[in-house]
Amino acid sequence: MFFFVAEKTLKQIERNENYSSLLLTLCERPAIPDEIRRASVITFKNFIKRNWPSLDASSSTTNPISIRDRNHIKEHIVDLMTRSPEHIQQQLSDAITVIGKCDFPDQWPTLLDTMVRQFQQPSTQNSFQSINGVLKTAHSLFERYRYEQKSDELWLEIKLVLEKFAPAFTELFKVKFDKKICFFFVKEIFIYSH
Amino acid sequence: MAYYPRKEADLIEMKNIFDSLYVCIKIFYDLNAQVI
Repeated sequence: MFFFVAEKTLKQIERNENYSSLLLTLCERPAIPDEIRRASVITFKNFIKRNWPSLDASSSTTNPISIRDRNHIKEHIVDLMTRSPEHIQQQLSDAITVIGKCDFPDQWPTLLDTMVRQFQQPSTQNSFQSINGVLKTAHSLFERYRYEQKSDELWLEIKLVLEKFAPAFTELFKVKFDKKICFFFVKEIFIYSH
Repeated sequence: MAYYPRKEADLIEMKNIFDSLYVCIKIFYDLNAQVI
């Protein structure tokens, strides 16, 4: 019974401005119990899935996610994803994919820059766990290049990705996998064999 | 004589490395798919 009341209350406040930002704030704070963070990020993802794609000129006044909230989410969600633990990261990555499929590249031109910035963080802050989220998001956005019909629009998008994303990605691959993997496996083998 | 490892392998780190490597390969494939 309590759950129904809680869900109903959440549903009612969905239309308030800042609702999505509040959910993100909840899942960001380490002091908040993990189950609450998990519940808030899943609610956020479902809210985005339900409401993000439906924005058009006729519904811009009735859509629960205002333009201001949309911009706020797009500004912070990638950074938040890389700082989050894996179970939260996965949900945020799904949400970014939904947003990216609707808005990238025209209405979200900064997405690639933000991703590239994550790759270029100093290696102490740039663990495999944090870049994994960015990589998985990138793959879910670029996956459609495999099967989509050739068109000028598609090729322009790929060109943009190749110019902005590919150099930093290749550099990350060289740095991370040349040195770190070799070091890691040599270390493991050394520990096991002594 | 039986051999025992002295230390647990860091399985989480290992999983993260393999995950990253796997996704990197998929991205390389995505980005090259139209010219293959």
